[in-house]
This record gives sequence, structure tokens and C-alpha cells, in this order.
Amino acid sequence: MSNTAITLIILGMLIYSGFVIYHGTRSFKKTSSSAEKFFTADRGINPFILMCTTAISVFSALAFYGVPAALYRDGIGYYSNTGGMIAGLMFVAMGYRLWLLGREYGFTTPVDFLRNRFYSDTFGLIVSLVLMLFIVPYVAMQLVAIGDAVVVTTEGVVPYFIAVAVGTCVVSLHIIGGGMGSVAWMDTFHITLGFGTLIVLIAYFTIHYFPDGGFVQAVQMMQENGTYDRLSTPGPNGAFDWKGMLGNALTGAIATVVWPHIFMRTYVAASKENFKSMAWTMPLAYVVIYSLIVFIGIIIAPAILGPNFEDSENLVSILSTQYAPPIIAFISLLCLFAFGVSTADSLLLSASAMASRDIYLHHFYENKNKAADPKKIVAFGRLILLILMVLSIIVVAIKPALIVDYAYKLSSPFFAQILPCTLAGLFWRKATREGAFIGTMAGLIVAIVFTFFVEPPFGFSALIWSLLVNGALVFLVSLVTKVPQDVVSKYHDRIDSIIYSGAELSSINEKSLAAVAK
Amino acid sequence: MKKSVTILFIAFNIVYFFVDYILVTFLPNPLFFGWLTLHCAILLFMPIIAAVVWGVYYNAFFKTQKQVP
Repeated sequence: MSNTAITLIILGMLIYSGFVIYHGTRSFKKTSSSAEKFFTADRGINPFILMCTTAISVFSALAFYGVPAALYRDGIGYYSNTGGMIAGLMFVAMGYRLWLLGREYGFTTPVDFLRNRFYSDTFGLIVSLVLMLFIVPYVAMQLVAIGDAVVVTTEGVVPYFIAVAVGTCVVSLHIIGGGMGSVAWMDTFHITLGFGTLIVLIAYFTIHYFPDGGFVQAVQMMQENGTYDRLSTPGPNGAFDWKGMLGNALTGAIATVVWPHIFMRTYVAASKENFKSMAWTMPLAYVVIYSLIVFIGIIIAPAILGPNFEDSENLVSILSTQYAPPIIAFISLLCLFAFGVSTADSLLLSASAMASRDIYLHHFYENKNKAADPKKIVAFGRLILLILMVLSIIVVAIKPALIVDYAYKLSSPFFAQILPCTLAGLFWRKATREGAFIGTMAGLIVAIVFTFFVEPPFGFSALIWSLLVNGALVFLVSLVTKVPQDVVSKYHDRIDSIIYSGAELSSINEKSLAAVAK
Repeated sequence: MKKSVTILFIAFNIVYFFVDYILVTFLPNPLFFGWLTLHCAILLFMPIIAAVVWGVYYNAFFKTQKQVP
């Protein structure tokens, strides 16, 4: 690649970074006075923006770099990590109740719901700390992917550390400025950018490398070069038989809705219309975008690279830089930024919200019956974002080997452990504090043991075992303990009366963050 | 919502996820149109059918929620 091309790519990246930072900081003043505005965009996100911000927040840099690499290695079975787009169904089934609870009682974070429904500050504190702790490595993954790609694309002219430091600052400053509103709008820009750049990438490779028949020619090439097994399960390494598929679906998809940044999006909807349309728009958005990513991993890459390409982790960046002109490399980099930045900013905002709401506001103000100034809450949230920015840069310096494995091993199984208690807390009035606490703790322990120390039995993943143990204990312990009647009245009878008996929904006031019910 | 509609909806989802997560691995894998295998077709495009069913069901469900803004 010529020096001029590299200079233009760097210039393009700087313009993009400047645009993202400007977009966030221009609403700095507007979001400084209201924690509700900063963390929930005044619960006024319209259906289209909510669909875009939720969908793109799930698609991380891992989706663009890790997924084609995993599909190239293990074939179409890896696509089971979308779980048949179950996240769309769960977002509506669980999200509508959570949204009603948020409107009724001012909930903003996952812990707001869990702490109140399970009437335990200790449980809330532990869940906050676990979620916050594991947000950092997941955010770091996005930054590592961005850093690696910038280094490969600019042929080392931009050093790795500079790339990740700039990436981290862009993500953090963008959120510090604008909060949830800015994140949601920028996510909408990013999903458009990501979709557009994916179309350009696939069109270029198809027209250039398979001019006589497109994908038909590509599949013929795969039959000749020995990569045709990528188009079937269980794949070239036998990883995706039904057990592998089920484990991957659970890991990658079923628990998606309780990832902290996705969970928080159930609270920010403007009206019930959001959920009505999310039932079909979210799975369709997944299909449209994810299918394009899949075509790169199971058709384009195997047909062009053959079966013995060893550096599969860098498959997309190598395809873009060594098998395409500089403009395609730049477009590929933009696509990676779109996916990486959108996930990182949402996760960091959720960590900041949990630190501000669930720890600072709850333990230093609400528990002492003191009124909190919303400006102070926003300022604290911004301070946390700065600290997380520095922490992320430190974690990124310890560069992990395999992006997908690292993130899934550490973060996803831990986020997933709040799924059983969230489901029980929403739909089962007998679920108790003791059940939620023991189930979640046991799930975390099982996840750690089967991830790092003992091979999970019968070919099922650590996450499946941890969720089974977690769910069983939530159920069994709840059966032998008792939930207070006022909790049932508040979180079940009241919500059921709205859903099934036509009761009116109360509207929360502007300063709900400071007035959340205990 | 009628109970029968809800039961049908649940049954559809059980069948759909069973096919998508488990049954697909036991099916033969013929090639369609020269590029699309059955396994790929099921995994990539069956969610479109699911999206339609989910959309229709929840459209009907939210018609019962007139009191909610």
C-alpha cells in the first residue's frame, strides 16, 4: 500500500473520530442537569432508534472480526450463536414488563430491578460489582480488535497502543458528552454505516473474485479447494453437533437480553409501540446484517483463501488489505469501528449507570434518606467513565490471544447469571431473595469451575451447566422460603393489573433516578 | 388474547427452536441454486418466518394494551 493511501486512511480515521466526539460533546450541557436525560434519554427513544441501538449494540467488533474467523474455522454451525434471533423475542417478552416497571418505579439499571424485586441491598451490590467487573474485558475486546485492525491496515504506521488509546478516548468522550441519547443516535449512524460498508465489501469481493457466477462460482471453488464442509454442520472440526449448537446458542444469544447494556434499553422506550415493532424488526435486522457477515466467513473467505489459512483471527483485515485496494481496507476499518464503538459505548454507559445509580446514589443518598442533586449524579457517572477509560487502556495492553474465546469465556457467562433470577423475578411471584442469591452465586461458581478448572461433562458448555444449576437453585430455594406480600403486590399484582386488567400506568416524574422506590 | 392463540404461539416457538438448534444437525444437506446448502438456508432464513409470526402475535397482544401509552 502506498504512503499516500496510508495517509488518507489515517486522515479518514481522524475525521471519523472527530465527528463521533463532536456529536457527543455538543449535548454536554443539555445532559448535565438531569440524570434521567443522561442515563435514559428521558425514556423517549422512538421505535426505529431503539431497534437500531439495540441491534448494533449486540453486534460488536467480535461480530465483524471474530465471527467470520470462527465461521471460517468451524463452518455454518457457528451461526447458532444468534440462537435463531431469540434475543428479539426475549426483548419483547421480558422487556415490556421491565419497561412497565421502569415507568412505574423509575428503574434505570438491571440492578434497580433485581435489588428491589429481591428486596436485598447486598444482592444488588454483588450483582453491580460482577457486571461492572466483566464489562471492562468485554469493552477491551472491542478496542483490541480496533487496534489490531488499524495496525494491519496502516501497515504499522499507527502503532497498536496509539490506535487503542485514540479508540478508547473517542468512545469515552462521546458518552461523557451526550449520555444515552447521544449513544442511541450514534448507534443509528453506526448501523447504517456497518450495513453499507458490509454491502460494499461483499460486492467488491464477489465481483472481483467470482466474476463468472458470483456465489455459485465461489461454492464451486470451495468444492475444488476442500473448504465445502464450511457449508454444513458439524463443520470441519466437528464442533457443531447438536450439543455444540445448543451451547453456542445459549452462550451467544439466549442471555443477550440480560447483558447490562441491552437490559438498560428495555427502560428507554418511548411507548409500547417500541415493543410491538421490536418483535419483528429486531430479528429481521439481525438476519439482514448477520447474513452479510456470514457470507464473508463461510463463502468468500474459504473460496479465496482455501483451507489452510492459519491467521484466521485476522481474516477480515487481511482480506481487506492484501486482497483488495486501499479504499476497501478503509471501508472495512470503518465497518469495524461501527460495530466496535457501538458496543463499547453502550457497555461503558451501563457500567457508569450502575456505579452512579446502584452504588453511589443508592448507598450514599437513598439509604441515608438524603436527597441527591441530579447534577452530582451525572458528574459522578462521567467520572466513572473516565476511570473506566483508563482501566480499559490498561487491560488492552495485556493483549489476549483469541478474541472470541476470551470474551465469551470471561464476560458472557457472567452476564448470563442474572438471567434465571430476572426471569423468575418477572414471571414467578414465589421467587425469593434467598433463591435469587444462592442461585446466582452457585451459577457464578459453576461457570468459573467449568471454564477454568474442570472439563464440563457430557459435552455441554460451562454456561449451560451454570445456568442449569443457577435456575434449579432459584426454583428449589424459593420453594422453601417465603417472599413478602408487599413485594408480590408491588412487582406482580400491580404489573399484572396493568397488562391483564386494564389498570392505568402511573407516570414517573422527571427526577425518577432520585425517587426510585425502595 | 385467546388461550388457544397463546398455546399455538408457544408450540410454534418450541418447534422452531428445536429445528434451529438441534434438528438441523441431523438433516441431509443438499445444495440449492448452486450455492445455498439446506443447513445454511435453515439457519440463515428460518428466522424470517419466526419474525413474521412474532410480529403478528405481538401486534395482536398490544391491541389489548390500549390503556398503556
